[in-house]
Formats: sequence, C-alpha cells, structure tokens
Amino acid sequence: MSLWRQLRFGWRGLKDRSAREREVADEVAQYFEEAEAEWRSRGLSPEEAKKATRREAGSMSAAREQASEYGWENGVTVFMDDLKFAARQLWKHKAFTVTAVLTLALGIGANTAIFTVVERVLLSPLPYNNADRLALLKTYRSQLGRAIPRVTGPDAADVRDQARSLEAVSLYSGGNLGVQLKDHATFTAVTMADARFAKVFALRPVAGRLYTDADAKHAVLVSERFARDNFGEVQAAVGQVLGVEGEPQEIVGVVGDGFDYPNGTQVWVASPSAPEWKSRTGFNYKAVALRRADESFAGAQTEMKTISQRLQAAYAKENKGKEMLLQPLKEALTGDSRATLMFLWAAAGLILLIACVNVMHLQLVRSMERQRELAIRRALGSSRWRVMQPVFLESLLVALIGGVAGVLLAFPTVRALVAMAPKELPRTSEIHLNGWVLGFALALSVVTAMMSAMVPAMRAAKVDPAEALKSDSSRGMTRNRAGMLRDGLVVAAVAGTFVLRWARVCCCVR
Amino acid sequence: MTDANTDVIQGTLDMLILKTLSLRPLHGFGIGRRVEQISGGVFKVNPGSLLTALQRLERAGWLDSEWRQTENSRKAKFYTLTAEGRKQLEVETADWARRAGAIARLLEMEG
Repeated sequence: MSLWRQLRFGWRGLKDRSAREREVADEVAQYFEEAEAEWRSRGLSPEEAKKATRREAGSMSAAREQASEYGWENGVTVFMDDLKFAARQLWKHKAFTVTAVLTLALGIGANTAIFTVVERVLLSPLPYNNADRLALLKTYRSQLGRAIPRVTGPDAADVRDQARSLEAVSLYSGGNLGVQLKDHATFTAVTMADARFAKVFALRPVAGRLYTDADAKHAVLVSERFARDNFGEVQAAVGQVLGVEGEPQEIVGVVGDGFDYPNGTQVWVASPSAPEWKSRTGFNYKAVALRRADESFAGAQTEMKTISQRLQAAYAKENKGKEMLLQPLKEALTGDSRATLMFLWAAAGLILLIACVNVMHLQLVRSMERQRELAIRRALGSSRWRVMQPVFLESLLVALIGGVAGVLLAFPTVRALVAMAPKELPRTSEIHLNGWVLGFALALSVVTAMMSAMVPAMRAAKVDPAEALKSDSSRGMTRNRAGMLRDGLVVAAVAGTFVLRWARVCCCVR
Repeated sequence: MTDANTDVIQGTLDMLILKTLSLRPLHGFGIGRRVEQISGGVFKVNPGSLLTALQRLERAGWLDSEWRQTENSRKAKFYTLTAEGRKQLEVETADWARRAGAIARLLEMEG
C-alpha cells in the first residue's frame, strides 16, 4: 500500500517536475506568510515581522530546497541529468565518440559472432532426447594408431548383443541418394538404420508409427519437413510409396521435432537387425548407442574394453589390434572444430582487450581535457561519486552504443563465418543469434564499460581542485589547438594498432 | 537526503505531527505552531524538516493532503490523518510510553 503510494507520488514528481517544485514553493510561501502574519498580529511592523520570521525559520529558499529534496525520484532525476550531460558531452566530442564506438563495435562484434558459433556448436546440448547419454561407437586400430568413427557390422552387432551398460545400439549407413516419388524425384540425405535407431533417439512419430525389424527393407520413416514438402501434409505422407534407389518403400511414419540425424537425414530406411555386410574387416557401418541411465560413461567404456578383448580372442586374425570405443555423441560431432573455435574465441577476446585498452587511453585523454571541469565540480562541493558518475555514464553510453553497433555487425559476420566454415563444422544450420548471445554481448558491453571507465573515473575522483585549476596550462586560444592535435594523434594511433592487430589475427586464423 | 543521523528526532517529529493532526486537519504552519505552543516552546520545528516529514508521512499512507482556503482566504495545503495514520499513532504512542517508562525507571533507580 505504502510502496504503491511511494511509487505513485514519486512518479507524479518525475512526470511533472515543475509542478512538484511549484507546489513545494507554494506551501513554503504560505508557511512564511502565516508566520509573518502572526508576528504582525503581535504588533510588529511588516519589515520587523519579515526579519523575525527569517530569524526563527531560516530562509525560504533553504526550506524549499530541503523540502523538494525528499523522494526517490530525485535520485532518478540526478541520474537522468547526468545521462543527458554525458550524451551532450559525447555529441560535442564527436571524434572521440566515433573512434571509441567503432573500436568497441569491432571488438564486441567479433566476440559476439564467435560466441554465437561457440554457443551453438560447443556449449548448447544436442537437440536430441537424452543427449548426454548418446555415444558414437568407434573402432581403434593399432595398425593405424588411431580410432575411426566407423564399425564393422559383426563387431557392432556383438557389442549390441553383449553390452549390458548400453540400453540400445543402432547400426546405420547412408548418404545422399535419389528418392523417387509419384511424379518427381529428389536427391536427399537417406539413412539405412535398423529398428533400434528409434529407441536410441527415443523417437516418437508425429504421424503413423515407427518401423520394426519385420519391416526391414520395405518401410521408411520420413521427416516432418520431407512430408510437408512432398505431400503437403504430415498425415498425407503415411501409406505413400516412394522409391529409394529403385526399391519401393512404404512410408509408415513421420518423425517430428526437426530431427535429422545424421547429417540432415530426411528419409530413414528400415534395415535388418542382422548386418548385411558380414566382414569383420569392412568398416561399412556407423553405430550410435544410448547408455543406460544408471551406468557411468567410464563404466560403459570399460565394458567395451572387455568385449573387445573377447572378440580379439575369438577372431584372432580379423580383430587383431582392434578395440571398440565409445565417444560422447556431442564430442564426436564437434570433433576437431573445438580447438579451432577456442582459438578463434581467444583471438577475439584479445581483440576486445586491445579495444578496451585503446578506449581507456581515449578516455584518459578526455579526462585530461576535462580536468578543469571536474576540478570546478569538486571545488563546488560535489562528492567523489557525483564527480565519477558522469565519467562512468559516459563510458557506459559509449560501451552500450558500441555493443549495439557490435551486435548489428555480428549479423553479417556470423553469416560470413558460417559460409566460410569448413564442411566438417557440425550443426552450422543451427547457428544464429539468440537470447544467450545477445545477453553475452550486453554483459560484454557492460564489462567493457567498467574496464575502460575505471581508470579515468578514479583519476576524476582524485582531482585536486586547487592544483588542477592552477596548473591547467592549456587555456584560452591554444587549448583547442593542443587538444585537437592530441585527439588526432591518439585517434590515428588507436586506429592503426587496431587495424594491424585485426589483420594479424585474421591471417593467423587462415 | 537529510534524514541521516536524526533517527530519534525524526521518529519523535513523526509522532508529534500525527498527534497534532489527530485533533483536526491543519496546514504546515499550523502544525508547527501547535507543536511549539503545546510543548511550551521546548520543540521548535524548522519548516524544511517539517515539510519533508509531511511528505514522508503522506507517502507512507498516514496522511492525506488537500489544498483548501484558510480563514484569511489564502489557499493552503491541509493535512488529514488517515485511518492507517491513526493506527500508526497508537503504535508509536505505545512504543513511546514503553520507552519513556523504562528511562524514567532507570533514572529513578539512580536517584
């Protein structure tokens, strides 16, 4: 109740400041009139009554000031005044503002762009059910000295049948294939996967049903997008027949949620549970596994080792030096891009750091120029914080404008990055600016503002009025010239270093 | 703001204003004069603090205000005690009596 009144009264004061001031002035005037009238009624002359009132109650202006200082809205007013002042200062020193904003925009833009990619590729979980329990089955071969992300049919089938730590293992293979529809054909990503594939990814059809082992080689699932593109409606796709490489297949179900594993697959063809390729030396399959919820990754990995040893003993010739490994699916998908992205991110961070330092230098030059103004403020009794606040606000404004410009710059940069990205960079289709990224950019701007404002603001607070006013040699006519020269030099220096660093980082990355 | 370090005085001033207004609505000068008269000049209220306190009490919901004619046909801001203000006055009076009693007992013990 009283909070509501506080807000309402304060808001009224904010909305019409002069009305509030007038009311206070009116009330004070009435108070003094009454007081004087009282003195007069006791027989004093108007002159004497005035003096007596003043002696008793002080001056009207002091009372007015004290009474109108009350209220939270005054803090807001002071803040707004400082903000306006800061904006005016920035407008007046355009060279400084433009340089600082551009420097920060480049720094923040680069960081935002890289972070967009990093967030999507490395940080956000895979858009699948039980994403953290998914793993890719790989084969380590001592002859090669490394693991390949593929498996042979029989090995994977043995793992599937023996591993107790894995809830489901699915073998799949595929690629881009021609798909024939009633009146046309399309070339699209097709995956041959056994019936366990749906179990691994906990798929739920939005129409129709999933396929079973009994459906092998004559049933397919299609994605929601594929169904819409080719049949207009999801429901209409169920029961349709399409040809994959000439083999007729019936669409039994449609998979939703934009699921398109692996590699943007639109059509999943039911393959038999027993792998068709029986060779233990032909790595014709890939395999994904869903780890049991109550089993640790390390536990599952240990079991893979045991199974591998069993297989080595059973098939001494084919399985010599062969070991089955699990790799978390996310790691398997992001793979080598991790190091590159981290490096790029670090480089972008460095750029921002340099930008910050440069802007700080610019601010310092500005604060040298405004030493006189700050000294006068201090001499007139402003507190340290009141002197620091406008300096801080100026930096904050610069950083926020820089941040907005940076985000605008990030849009085309992200597009360029995605276009330039190597084919192997996973999940590129998912990359776009989102709330997280914008939050990151905002936080970055604020941190930047704080960093670049710290030193100038502290200097501002330390200004000794007497010294600053005495020792200010750059006054009068020469002041502007010296200032301009200094500005120019700094601008050139900053721009130079920035372009050089930027170019170097770009070269490094290439 | 000027309320720093004047906690006790401020608290008392609030109570005195509420008490004065519990008799009848008054404008700022009237309140100040009443407090001075009744306290026999022990309390002198300066207009700045008084008007600040009135704003504070009004925002707390204990007073309402209205611009009205005075007897000498001058517009003045009159303050009225609200129901909530009356409750607050009771609370503060009880509190004050408790404290004053405690202090009195302590002083008696010494004397």
